[in-house]
Amino acid sequence: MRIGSFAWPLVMGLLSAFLLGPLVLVAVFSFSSNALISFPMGELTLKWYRDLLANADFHAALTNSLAIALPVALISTVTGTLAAYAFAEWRTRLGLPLLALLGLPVLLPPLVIAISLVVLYVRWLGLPLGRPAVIGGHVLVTQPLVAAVIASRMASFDFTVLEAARDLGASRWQTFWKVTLPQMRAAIVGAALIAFALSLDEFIIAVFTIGGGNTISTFVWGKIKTTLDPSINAIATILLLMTIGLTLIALRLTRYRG
Amino acid sequence: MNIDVPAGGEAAKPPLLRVSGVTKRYGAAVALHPIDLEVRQGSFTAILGPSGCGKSTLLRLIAGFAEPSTGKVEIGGRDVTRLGPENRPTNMVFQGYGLFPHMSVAENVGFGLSIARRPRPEIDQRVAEALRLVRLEDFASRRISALSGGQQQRVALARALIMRPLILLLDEPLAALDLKLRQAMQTELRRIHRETGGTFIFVTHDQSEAFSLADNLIVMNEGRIEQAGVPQDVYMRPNTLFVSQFVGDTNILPGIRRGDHVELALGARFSSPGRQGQTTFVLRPEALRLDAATPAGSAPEGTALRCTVEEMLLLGGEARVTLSIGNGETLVARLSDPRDGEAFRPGMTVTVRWADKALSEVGVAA
Repeated sequence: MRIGSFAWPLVMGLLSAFLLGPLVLVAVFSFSSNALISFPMGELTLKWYRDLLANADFHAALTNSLAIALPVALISTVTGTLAAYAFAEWRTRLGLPLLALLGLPVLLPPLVIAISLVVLYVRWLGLPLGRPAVIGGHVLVTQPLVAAVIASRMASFDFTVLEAARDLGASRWQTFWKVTLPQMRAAIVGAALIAFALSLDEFIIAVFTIGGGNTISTFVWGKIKTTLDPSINAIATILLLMTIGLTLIALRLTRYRG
Repeated sequence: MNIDVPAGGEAAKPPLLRVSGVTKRYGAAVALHPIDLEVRQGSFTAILGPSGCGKSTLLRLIAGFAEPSTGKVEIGGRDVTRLGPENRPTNMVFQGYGLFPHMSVAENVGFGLSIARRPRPEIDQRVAEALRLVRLEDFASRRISALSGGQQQRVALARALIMRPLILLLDEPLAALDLKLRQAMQTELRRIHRETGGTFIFVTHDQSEAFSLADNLIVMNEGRIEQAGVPQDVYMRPNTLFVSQFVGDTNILPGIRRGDHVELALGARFSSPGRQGQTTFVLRPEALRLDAATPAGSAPEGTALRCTVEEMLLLGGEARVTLSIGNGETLVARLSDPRDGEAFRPGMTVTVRWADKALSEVGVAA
């Protein structure tokens, strides 16, 4: 009993250290003057962040990433929300299986999706690779998550309010804008942020379908293959902060119960 | 003043609501057989029936949430059959209230007027009026989630009444409230009906609720109207066995009519012309009088039978006595004063009597 009560925190501590250690190291060494991750740490410096800001390739990759993540967030939020809403409003027994079918891409290995997408784009549709190709691929995996978030909010949605609104003279459109959307807003914004964060650091689909050019994640991969440039640590730290920040906001919002 | 319209005036004025030949089927399932129904201006009508009898479907057809498969719905002389709920002069208090959780009480109540683009000062004034009517003046800026069930019910009422509907529809309005609150809300509903002078139609499965609120009762079963009329008439003179049993306790008395007389299976014979052969009468337990002393014998205005007390139950404000007639038939009598019941012990021989006009014929029981 005594040993047990000490052993568990110890195991949990080690596990956490193993999982989070690399992240902490990366973040810490993004501020170190050492060229390699090695102790002693050397001086504190913002040199790697300055290098990044001056790097035209990084700018291009960041621009690509944002130009992909923004439309992905928008598109998947609209389609995912509509899908979840439709399934909920129909209240058919098919709703749940259909939603699960829509979620299939999340369960498939990303590599399979990436290869299938390239085959689809190039062989079948004759479309060029590039930003739109990546956007399509990302929507495929973010939309199910949006739909899942919205569907879980829908589960506690009181559909009587829709009838009440119409009874009081509101058209379907007015009902949607004044009654449905305000109650769903938090969940929708949260879902959009999650989609944005997912797209921002997605790698496999991006590397297969971007063609020429880079997103942030393929840019880092390219750098890591050739050099061990510490500015990678800086990129990783930036990405980490953005993802954690967005996810925290999203979590706060989606847990909201009107 | 809304309660009793003289018969002449009633005939001269067309009914506010007329439902004619309305049916509703979902695929092969029939929810409503042809329904004909009239409700006059100012009435407080209850649609009473067991769950699944089609009463909610009928209410939704009047509100415009469903379209009838055949037939016509007219309100104030206008055919509204094909109009949606947003275009009908009706408003509804929903069973789960359907309040907007992201709005304050005042915003909920003012929703319909703001959709209708009424000027702000008018909305504010009418919201204040509506909240005063339901006695929620001090709750205007509260959130819905901060209200109790009874208060939410009042908000739903105010939100519907502010639209000044020709007909206010209420779907099981008190079902979600506990007993004390339900009784208080019944009083409130009666007061609001009186003060607004409006026409209310509500759906309920609770016969005591229907009797305490309504001046017009419609009893439904299996998609049909079994009986409509003044509640007391429906109670005293049920047309069918179902109505008799649904609106209260009843004694069922099978009998045979021969000539102008009916012989009941329990041994009574009385004068009653009509269709020959098998028939059934019902008799309310409170119509029975018990007497320990007087001997049996047919009184001119009624029937008296010797019987044995089988069981006597004291139920708070009343006593219930089960009587067995010699030939295996039983009767249940209700005594409104439980002290009267204490005189009757199981095994005692007593005389039970009733007036023949208390018997209602419901035809041959199925």
